[in-house]
Amino acid sequence: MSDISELESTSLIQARGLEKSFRDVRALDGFDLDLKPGRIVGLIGPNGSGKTTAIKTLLGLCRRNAGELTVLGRDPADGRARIMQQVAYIADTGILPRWMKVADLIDCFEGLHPSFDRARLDATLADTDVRRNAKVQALSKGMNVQLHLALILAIDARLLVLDEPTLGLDQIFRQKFYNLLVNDYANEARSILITTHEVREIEHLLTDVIFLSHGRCRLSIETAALEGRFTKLVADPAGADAARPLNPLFEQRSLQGVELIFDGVPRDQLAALGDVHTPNLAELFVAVVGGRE
Amino acid sequence: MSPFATLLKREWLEHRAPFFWFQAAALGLLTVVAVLALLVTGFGEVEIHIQSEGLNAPPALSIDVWSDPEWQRYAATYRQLVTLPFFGIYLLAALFMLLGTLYDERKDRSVLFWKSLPVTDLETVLSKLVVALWIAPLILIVCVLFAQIIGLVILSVFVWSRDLGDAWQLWWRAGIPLGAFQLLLGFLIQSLWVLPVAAYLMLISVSVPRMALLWAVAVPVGAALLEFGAFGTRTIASFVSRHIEPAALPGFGDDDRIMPVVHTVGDQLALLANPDLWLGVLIGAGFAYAAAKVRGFNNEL
Repeated sequence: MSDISELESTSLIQARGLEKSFRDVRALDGFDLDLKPGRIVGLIGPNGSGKTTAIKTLLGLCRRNAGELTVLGRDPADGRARIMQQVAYIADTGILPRWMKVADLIDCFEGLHPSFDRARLDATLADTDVRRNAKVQALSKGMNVQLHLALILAIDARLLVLDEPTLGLDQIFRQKFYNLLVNDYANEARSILITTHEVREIEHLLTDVIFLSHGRCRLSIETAALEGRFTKLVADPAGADAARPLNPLFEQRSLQGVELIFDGVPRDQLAALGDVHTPNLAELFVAVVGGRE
Repeated sequence: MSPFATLLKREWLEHRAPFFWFQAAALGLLTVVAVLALLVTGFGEVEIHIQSEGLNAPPALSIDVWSDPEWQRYAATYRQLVTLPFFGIYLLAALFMLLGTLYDERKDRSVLFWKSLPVTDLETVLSKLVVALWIAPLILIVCVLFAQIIGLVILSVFVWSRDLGDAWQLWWRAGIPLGAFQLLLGFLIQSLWVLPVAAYLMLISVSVPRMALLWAVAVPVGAALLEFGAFGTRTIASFVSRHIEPAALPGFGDDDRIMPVVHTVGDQLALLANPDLWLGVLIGAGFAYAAAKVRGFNNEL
């Protein structure tokens, strides 16, 4: 077996039936995930759907109530420190210690991460406005994220977990962030798990997508398989009437007519009733999850 | 640098203001006050009236007539008086560090960053205890040494300028090296003695949603009241009272204290044979382990 195929056969994360409750609120309700190397998986859900809880549970940052979980072959509830040698994490808000100077933070990160590459960090930071003698609290939110990403790019992490990493950043920063991610991090041995509710922003990056609602996976699919499974039909009222018996997931009126989204209906069959397209992730998200919210 | 050394450095960076700069400021302030006092009393025209029954000093004071026991008593008093302000600062700094450190990281959510690094919660808790109980006292001892030496310079000039005897005696009779050794040994043993209290403060710091100081006081007081109400005993109150004492530090407190005052190195080492110390270490280790466990899943306020 070649190195790559060996890597591909080994899941970085295997989660089965994860459950997590906060008092009477069930945040995760049978969450499943199988994350292979080389994948960029989008965990997409509305606010309160359990994305952050899922991430924290996967990383061993909070205890699960039930379910089986291994990350890089270990249970993160017991071996988080070991796992974190190969896993990097950026949370939804700035979590870098605000009291620290950037230079001190870099030194600490280097001292705690066995695979830290300072030359790589220097190269990444050179393209930013982050000053090393500044305190973290003096950095803008954009610079904060840039610094955190630079730190993470400097370690040889096999798994990068991003929880709404661009929340509150402007469009230019977002673009830079994702460019850096794709160009400098992603390769066939590494995976990215990213949560967001801004579906359009990451649609083009993803190899897999998971829609989460009320703590459950409502859809888990490779983005390459979307075209073969889901169809968006734009039809006039008569075409829509003819299509409704095929059980559309979703229906809405638009300027172009009536839009219906179908799961598993042959595209040829729908083509006779109107214009057919592959729905984008935002449309599919609304179709799959919207009705449950 | 090893990961644990890096953790110590990280703690030091966060807490160097109370543990170092406040001590350094106290040293600077004491020096200024001492020099001013010298300028006023030593070279000025001020008449000095020594009225100290404890010192039993004659009106025409001369250090040449002091007996050995007197020298020992005055030297110990001098060393302790100089140590007191630094110890007070350290005590407050350590209290608020231990009570705040695991609370503050949850408050600003930086706990998520630290936990995303390959470091165990137990290593983190231990690094904080080491800085509070071992490294910060080292700074204190260095500052005390400087202060004692500066004080001796001032006293020497005073004695010399007033012709109160052979000023050189002050230097070899003050027992500065012995005092420093006793402080070092004292803090080493004291770190074991107060471990249950220090680790308990960290457990409160990592557990409560707010008002850590109030919780830190309320829990043992409540437990002691419950125990007294239920059994009529004072085991908890007595244990806490004993273990907040500076039991291993030479000369601290008075003879009415719960723990006997230690004077000699022998007194200090005898504390190591006290089963109460090792019971406290056991309880402290339990609290530290519990603090690490709670930190494992308690991320936010």
